[in-house]
Amino acid sequence: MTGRLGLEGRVALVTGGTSGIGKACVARLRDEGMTVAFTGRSSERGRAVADATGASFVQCDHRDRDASDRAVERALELGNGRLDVLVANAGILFQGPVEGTPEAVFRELLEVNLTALFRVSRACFEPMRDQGGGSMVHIASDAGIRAVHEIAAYSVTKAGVIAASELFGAEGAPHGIRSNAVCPGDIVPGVQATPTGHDDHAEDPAGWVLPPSGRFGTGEDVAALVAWLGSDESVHMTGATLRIDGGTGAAMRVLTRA
Amino acid sequence: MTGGTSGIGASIVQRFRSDGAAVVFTGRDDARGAEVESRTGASFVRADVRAPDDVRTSVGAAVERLGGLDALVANAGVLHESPLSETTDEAWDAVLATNLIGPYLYAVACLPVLRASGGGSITMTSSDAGVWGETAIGAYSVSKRAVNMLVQTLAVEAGPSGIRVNAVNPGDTAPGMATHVEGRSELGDASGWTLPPLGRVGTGEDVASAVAFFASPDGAFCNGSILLLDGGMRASLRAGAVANPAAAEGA
Repeated sequence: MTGRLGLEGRVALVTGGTSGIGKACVARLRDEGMTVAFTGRSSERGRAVADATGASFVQCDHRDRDASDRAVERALELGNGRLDVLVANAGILFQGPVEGTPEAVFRELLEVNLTALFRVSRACFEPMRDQGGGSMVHIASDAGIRAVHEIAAYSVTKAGVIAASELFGAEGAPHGIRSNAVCPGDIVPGVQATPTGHDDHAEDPAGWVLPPSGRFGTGEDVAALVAWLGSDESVHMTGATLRIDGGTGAAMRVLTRA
Repeated sequence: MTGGTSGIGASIVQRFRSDGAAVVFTGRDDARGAEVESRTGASFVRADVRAPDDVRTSVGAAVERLGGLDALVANAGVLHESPLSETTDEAWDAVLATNLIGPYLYAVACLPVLRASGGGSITMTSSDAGVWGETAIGAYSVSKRAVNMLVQTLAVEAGPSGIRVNAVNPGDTAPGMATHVEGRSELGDASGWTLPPLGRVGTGEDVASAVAFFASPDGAFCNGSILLLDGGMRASLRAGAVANPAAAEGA
């Protein structure tokens, strides 16, 4: 499938590329022939993804603002000053309602899911403008469109991500910078990054209801959309918010007939 | 009631007092607090919503002075005029601390008190920019979108306790917000503003009326509502052209 999207030789940065959707994005963009840098907290998981895909791992905890800045610089070095695609994906999840979310955790989700995404996008804005354009893809969530109250702080931060993505789209459009928000529904495996570290079962699919399409999404489903948004095929798409959820968000109740 | 010493907040304090409610309101400035206090008969507590200790202390003071709470109005907010690509860390942090973390802290501090009253109402002052953003006020728009989501998650969580949580989303309101990240700056003349289809900008009283409705028995079934109060400006793509024929012609 290499070459269909015309991404060969272009440069991408994927934040949070060592698990889940981010990892699938790294693999897909490499398959498309891109030069890819990706970040993550664990060197072990990072090396495994780098070995499997040929992408370049940059160890980075996005709670650390300096490290986050350096990761963008590292990606620009890798691309000899070019950065065509940003996939701002790094995010952490906390299970709990608002009242059950400790202040420190609320602040931490805000820092990683929203502030780091804003800061990385801001850092990419100028280089993208100077090179004549680029594509930012922000991984939000269907929980950012419609509340999922069991993961309240996550929902709140993802709503902010959608707003930020729209605004970067509006602001960047005159400079050829595109920005779109991708809102995955229930994806297996779910988010594995939490404030305390990596947890394979941070999101437990046990209680999930199947989308109308009859199956949960995969990282590869999302990566396909991300690759398309990163490519010139989607050149007129910007400031858009796209659900990718097998139809879950399309209606509140779905009529089923035996 | 947070942020009650100026703008929309002062109008809300006045309205609740007129409706016969006992009110404690917060703000950062003693002189402005005293002025609203003497004009309305409400009680002022100095507090900065960015300081978690101030949040807890002011809620404690309100409960002590009022003997409990039926309503929280999380109104305090700060504006910053800058597109996202030019927004500094300092401004971003200040906007999120005031407009998002502050309301979260106040909600968490007040929920047990409202529950003890057998239910109640939380209303957050958001913005039309939270519904449909504006690049000139990037961080502000983001913070208000997030606060609308905070309202909706809280509505589901607190509903079973008889606590209703709603948001008002005012459009251009005169006098406008004076509280900026850089400090206070009174807004000048609103005559150059693009008017909504209703042909006038909003007033603090317009917003206060909606907040009073949400807090009152008339609003008993409103929960998780994100109410636009913008004269119709965001009801259509080119609503701004309707009451501004000169602007519509593009000059």
